[in-house]
Amino acid sequence: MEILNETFFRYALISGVIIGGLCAYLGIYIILRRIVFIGLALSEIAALGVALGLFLGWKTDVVSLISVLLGTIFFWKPYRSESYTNESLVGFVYAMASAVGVLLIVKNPAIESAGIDLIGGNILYTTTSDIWTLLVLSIIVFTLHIALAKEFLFVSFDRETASTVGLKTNLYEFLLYISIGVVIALSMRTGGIIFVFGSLIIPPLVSLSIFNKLEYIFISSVSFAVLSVIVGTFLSYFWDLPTSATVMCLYGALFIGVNSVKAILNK
Amino acid sequence: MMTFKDVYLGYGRNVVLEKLNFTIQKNDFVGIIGQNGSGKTTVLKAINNSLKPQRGEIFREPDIKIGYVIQRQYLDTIFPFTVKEIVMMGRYGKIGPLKFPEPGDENKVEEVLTVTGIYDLKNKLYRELSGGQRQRVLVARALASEPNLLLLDEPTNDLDIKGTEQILKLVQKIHSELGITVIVVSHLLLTILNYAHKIIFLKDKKAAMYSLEEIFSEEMLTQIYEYPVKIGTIHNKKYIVPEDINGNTQ
Repeated sequence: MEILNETFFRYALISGVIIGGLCAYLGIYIILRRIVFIGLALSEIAALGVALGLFLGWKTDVVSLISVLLGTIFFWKPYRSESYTNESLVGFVYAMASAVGVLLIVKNPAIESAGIDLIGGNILYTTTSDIWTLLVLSIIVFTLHIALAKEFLFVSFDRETASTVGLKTNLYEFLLYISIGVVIALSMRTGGIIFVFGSLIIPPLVSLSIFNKLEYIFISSVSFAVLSVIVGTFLSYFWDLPTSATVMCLYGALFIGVNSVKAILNK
Repeated sequence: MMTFKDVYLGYGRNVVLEKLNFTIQKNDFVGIIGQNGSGKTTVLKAINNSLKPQRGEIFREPDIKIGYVIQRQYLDTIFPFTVKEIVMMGRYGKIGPLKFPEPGDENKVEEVLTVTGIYDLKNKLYRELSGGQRQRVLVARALASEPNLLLLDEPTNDLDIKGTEQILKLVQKIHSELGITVIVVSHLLLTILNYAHKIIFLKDKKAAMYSLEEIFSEEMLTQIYEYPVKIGTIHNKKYIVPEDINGNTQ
């Protein structure tokens, strides 16, 4: 455990735990609202924001945040057309964000010197300021979500009736989308697309496979993510593997393991 | 309770219904009938105040509290909510943000679970219930908000005869015993003919309100159905059957 004396490792562990926990919590809404594709597109927009920030020489977190906020508003109030579905528009945004992101980073030497890997992430480059940003973010998001949990769940389940009983549905949906967007944006530079998107989807899937009670689902999803990040970060160090990919494989093993046991027990 | 005066309803520039004129009075039991796409849900949205008229005016009494029963097919059963959790949602407007349900809210939820006959199901998952049981849960949730006007959107869709009768009897009981005004939307006149006191019939962008006496004539029903029909009675309940060209019932 000498590795824990290394600052870079401790920072990586802390940022991984915060990003994994936050994403695993918010991912429950993404799965239940069936907006997985929007989650993926927002991740890609956040990555585009980081690439754009580096290209322009501006603060990457700020540009990423602005990009994701614009994307969030767009998906929250999507443009409606008779000719195509909103889902296909999400696909368009995803493809464009990916393509422009690639063009912006392909010949930008700043990317490599900053130690940034937008796909795989690089949490070993986490700085003190990143840790503080993520800590403040997690306090704000968890406070918001504990305070407005019943409203977020009601508008997600039945927007129309929620409006009839007097809930400000537009406001709550906006806050929900914004909280998801901000977490994705501020996690992207450190976590990368694979880690952020994987944490949004796989731990919630594991929890939904096991539990039927929402409190248990939220708590267990965060717990699975935190546990996987801790174990995965150590494994990646000892076996010299990329951290994000190692954590993702642990998520995947957990999901397959849980569902295999379920299938055997249900036989 | 509510009066529509020369109301035009629609979305954007598209007019779905024009020149609506009718009044919903306290303690009415109104059926809104029309084929798919006739604008039933549009009228419901206007009553519900979630759709503003393109033209005309809707006059409402200030003390209207609407309990809305959404079409249960619109709800996604991926959400692992229990019956009690869903019924409690009806209280959220009263509880307000940043607060949790209090004992008074719990008592109200238990009361409406009893009224709707689903108290024993309160800890069951909504998604594990039958169609009729789910419909009762949604009625209970609407009652939990303590409404004086209950709006039900196609409550008998996809229910068998038993389920349909049970739900309509429950709604009738709520109307007569709790004194709540009821508006039921259905695409089948026959379904609510024996329960509603007035019928709003939607057709060709127009709406007309009929009393039961007016609508229970073979001439009127033949005009509505655009097909010759006969009215019969079994156990004090009216039924409608098509009449063939020779005047024999089919």
